Amino acid sequence: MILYRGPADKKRFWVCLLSLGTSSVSVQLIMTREVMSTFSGNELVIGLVLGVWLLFTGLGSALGVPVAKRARPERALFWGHVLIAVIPFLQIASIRALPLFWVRGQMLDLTSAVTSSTLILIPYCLVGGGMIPMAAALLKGKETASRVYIADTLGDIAGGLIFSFILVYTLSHWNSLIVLGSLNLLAATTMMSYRALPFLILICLGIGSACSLNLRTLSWRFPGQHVILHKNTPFAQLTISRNGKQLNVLQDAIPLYSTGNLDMETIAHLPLCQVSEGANVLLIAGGVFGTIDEIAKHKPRRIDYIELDPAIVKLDRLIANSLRHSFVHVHVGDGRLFVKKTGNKYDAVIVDLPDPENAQLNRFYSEEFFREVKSILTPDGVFSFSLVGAENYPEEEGLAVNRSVYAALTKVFKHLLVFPGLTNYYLASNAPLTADIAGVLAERRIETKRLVDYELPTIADPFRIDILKALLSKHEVPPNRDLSPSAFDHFLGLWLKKSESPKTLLYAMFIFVLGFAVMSCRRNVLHFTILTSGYAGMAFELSLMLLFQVIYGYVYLRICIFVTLFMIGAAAGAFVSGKFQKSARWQMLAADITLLALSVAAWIAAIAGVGARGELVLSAMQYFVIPSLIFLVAFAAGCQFSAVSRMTSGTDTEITGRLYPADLAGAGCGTILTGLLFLPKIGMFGVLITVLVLKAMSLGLNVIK
Amino acid sequence: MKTSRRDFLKTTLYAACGGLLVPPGSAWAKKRFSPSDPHVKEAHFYRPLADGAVQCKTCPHECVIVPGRRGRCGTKVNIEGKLYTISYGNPCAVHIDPVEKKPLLHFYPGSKAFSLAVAGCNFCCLNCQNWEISQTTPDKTRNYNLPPDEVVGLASRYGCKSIAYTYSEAVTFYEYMVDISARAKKIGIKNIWVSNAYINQPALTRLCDVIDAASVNLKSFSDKIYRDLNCGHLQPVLETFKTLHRRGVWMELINLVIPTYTDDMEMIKRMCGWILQNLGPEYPLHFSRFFPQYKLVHLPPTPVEVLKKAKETAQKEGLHYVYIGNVPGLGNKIICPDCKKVVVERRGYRLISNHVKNGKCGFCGRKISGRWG
Repeated sequence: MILYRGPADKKRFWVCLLSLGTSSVSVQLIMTREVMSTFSGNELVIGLVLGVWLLFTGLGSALGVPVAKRARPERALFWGHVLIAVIPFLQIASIRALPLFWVRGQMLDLTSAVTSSTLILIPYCLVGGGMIPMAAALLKGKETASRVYIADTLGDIAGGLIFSFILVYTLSHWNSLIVLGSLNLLAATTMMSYRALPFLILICLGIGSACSLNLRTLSWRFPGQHVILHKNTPFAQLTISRNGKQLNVLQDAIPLYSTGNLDMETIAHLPLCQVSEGANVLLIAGGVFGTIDEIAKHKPRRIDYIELDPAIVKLDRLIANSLRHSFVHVHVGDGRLFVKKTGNKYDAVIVDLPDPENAQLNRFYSEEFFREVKSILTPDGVFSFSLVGAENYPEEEGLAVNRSVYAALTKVFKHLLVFPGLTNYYLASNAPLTADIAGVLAERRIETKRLVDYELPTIADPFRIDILKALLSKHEVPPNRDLSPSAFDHFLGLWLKKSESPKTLLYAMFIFVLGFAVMSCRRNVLHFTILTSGYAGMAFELSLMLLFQVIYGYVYLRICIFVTLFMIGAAAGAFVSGKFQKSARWQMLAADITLLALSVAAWIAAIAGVGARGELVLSAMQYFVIPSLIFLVAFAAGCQFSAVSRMTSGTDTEITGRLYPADLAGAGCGTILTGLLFLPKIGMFGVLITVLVLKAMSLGLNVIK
Repeated sequence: MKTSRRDFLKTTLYAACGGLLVPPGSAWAKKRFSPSDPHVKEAHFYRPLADGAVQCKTCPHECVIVPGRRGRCGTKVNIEGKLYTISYGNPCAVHIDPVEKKPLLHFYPGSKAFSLAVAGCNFCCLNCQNWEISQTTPDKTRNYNLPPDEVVGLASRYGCKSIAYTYSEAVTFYEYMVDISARAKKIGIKNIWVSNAYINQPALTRLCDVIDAASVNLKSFSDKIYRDLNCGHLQPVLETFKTLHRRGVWMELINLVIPTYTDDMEMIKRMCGWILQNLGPEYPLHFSRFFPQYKLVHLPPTPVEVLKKAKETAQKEGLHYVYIGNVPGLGNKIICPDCKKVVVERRGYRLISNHVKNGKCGFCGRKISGRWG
């Protein structure tokens, strides 16, 4: 039975948690994207930032309990909303200003990245987390924690949907913060009398007038350049800048293309010289940066060019105008999905994507993908891609990335040829391959600016080719697989080495996360249960997203829907549990058993999904199995949270302030440990084993108790 | 034993701090080396100090090293009060390159250079193209076992006109370089020092006895930029140029033009003025295009027009041979300063024509600086 302390409290409670949930999810997404641009878009940094976000929000919840006991909740929430409205502007400006404090243009190491971004993010997390028990103080009754959970989750759903489907397409990050800030200031008005209105209007005006700071703070990230266009897309932040007459395209502040770039010669001619003129070519990404024009020199019959981000396709008019050729057919979507679905056969498949720096990109360097490519190649067709290399000496981590991909390639293709250089260029085919690229180009009277005269003398040097081949095939290594992404794992190692980031920092973070987890559930089995469910939720979410992407590709809309589905499941679970008041213990045990069963189900789904080819099985996986798994996991976790909240002793605020940290600590562990350690090192099946072990422990302890 | 929350936090904090302060595998971690190891040789330039410490005198860092520790380059180790190099006979990269790749355009055009590197560097350039070997140490790389005699033998067998000490920083394998160079010189193979020019004068003086050419980096004309981007100082580099000039070693200067750092035309003008005044107008100056690499990844490549402007500035200052590097199709023809005819033409690294006869322009007879054979 829920009781509100006063007539206005019901409104205040819902307004507070809905606006807090909405803005915290949106701000989290915005800050993650901003951090990505400042710190080279590294998965390690992003994972740690998300983990830190969850942990400190949990800590905020714990710290909010004593405050909620002493302060008047309306007053505390008023100031909470004001801070939640204002702090993000200081955060975004600080994140953008960070490069000013280091050497200009430098990639920062993990220590600087994690320390500085944590310090910047902490205030928001603590305030946001602290507001949760304060909002709970507006209610009375056993269902308080459960109701808080539902309201907060509904706010999260709204925030996720608003950002993913509206803000990211229509507004800059800065302007999005103005919208979210205004929402919180409106929420603040419900907490206080009208006397506070002038103060709020003043802050509103202050936020509005800070609009002009957007471009100013952005320019800190692009020294010496004039920013012509800065655009948010669902996938990244795209910037077009000029320095002098040179046009630069930057993705998350990393130069992607500049006028005079000639990489496309190597990307196009190495594979095209292996096949006859008049070829059918599939080009996955990179086409608008001149690769299509280079392929065109080989008189192709047809080029299917596929690009994930439509904003990149639109750059064509500004750069090379390559899409003017009548034989070019543009497709916007995921390359992997295209390869799976196309009925065409190709003489050359060229992948021009970044290195496997995350699990998403790793899908284009796996044995499973190579098999899919082989199935759409003509018998003499060639497949090509590039990977991180080294001009004169491949060091161990970079070599390990190459070895795992090479091992996967050898399982699928008979003939391999790797051209060594700053970037290693891979060719694979079932027909013999030639290293005499200059000869073929001369025969076809194709001129290049850099490839023949500058690059081939080095990369086609038989001595260098043999050295690299010997290094790649020297050790037996496990091939890079979709669900055991070893290339991604080694790439993280390479980044740590390159940025001179001590691995000990990573281990220290893991210890900190585990320490926090232990603290949040010490001597209390119920808290341990909530913690392990929080972990299981994130572990499942990340694993199932990966599984979905492996099977169907990166479909932005679908991924957003799945994240929303997860949150709806959590809210629904908590709601349904509240309807059956008397069976709390059974609900808790049933949730543990359900999560155990779902681990096994996910395992079976992964095996069936990756190997599946039939349309019926694929459709069933896409529309039923994976969404159901996501929903049921979240439903079980939500149900368990609600049930445990009814079994926990203490005041309403205390219950909320204890269970939230345990839940968020679990989710933080899930994000950090699963995303950065378990998924790259032991793959999806390993992650499921960790869930099985933890939930079995939780179940065992609860049964004994 | 029951652990309190305070104890747990303390332990975690100490463990984390300990790990952060002394990362395992860092250059500072102790590793035992023996003077009897074939790749360990006593260093040529150092000074014993009290308590078994030594001061390395090879480069201007002049590291003071206590027993069991290494210098900044990671290749000089104090073993029981004596300084040893661990970079002897153990190159990790060995290739045969066109001499134009060093880059040397006025040094036996079209010839091959037997190129080798031992891991290590006394700089920490944020844009290093060879960070895999420069920012590590020889005990962490996969190495060949190539004593000096074998290097000379291989260079001779593969018909290389020269041996180039390149890719990493040759000052860090100074002893190995000097020994190879001395042997190579005896049989007429030339020696090329590719370097950041960060070396002390006594070491350089001995090196000048055995090397024939230097491809040296003048990374900027600002001490602050040297400190920020390279972990070094400008003045010792300038002293190196003066000594090379005085000792008659052929040199070509490389200046990497990095946006917002070294693309300031006023600074380039001052740099060219210094070159003219101290070295004369005859040494080639290469303006090289920057590409985002290693840790300097948030800057775009140098606009070609900036490089052209730098070339114009240098020519206006009076330098005779100015080139643009890393931009295919631009600027590697050697043009006679008098008759303005192309005396050496290349396509990439490939020699197309060479009209230099006995060191003079084949068209007007003016001396063309360099080493022509």
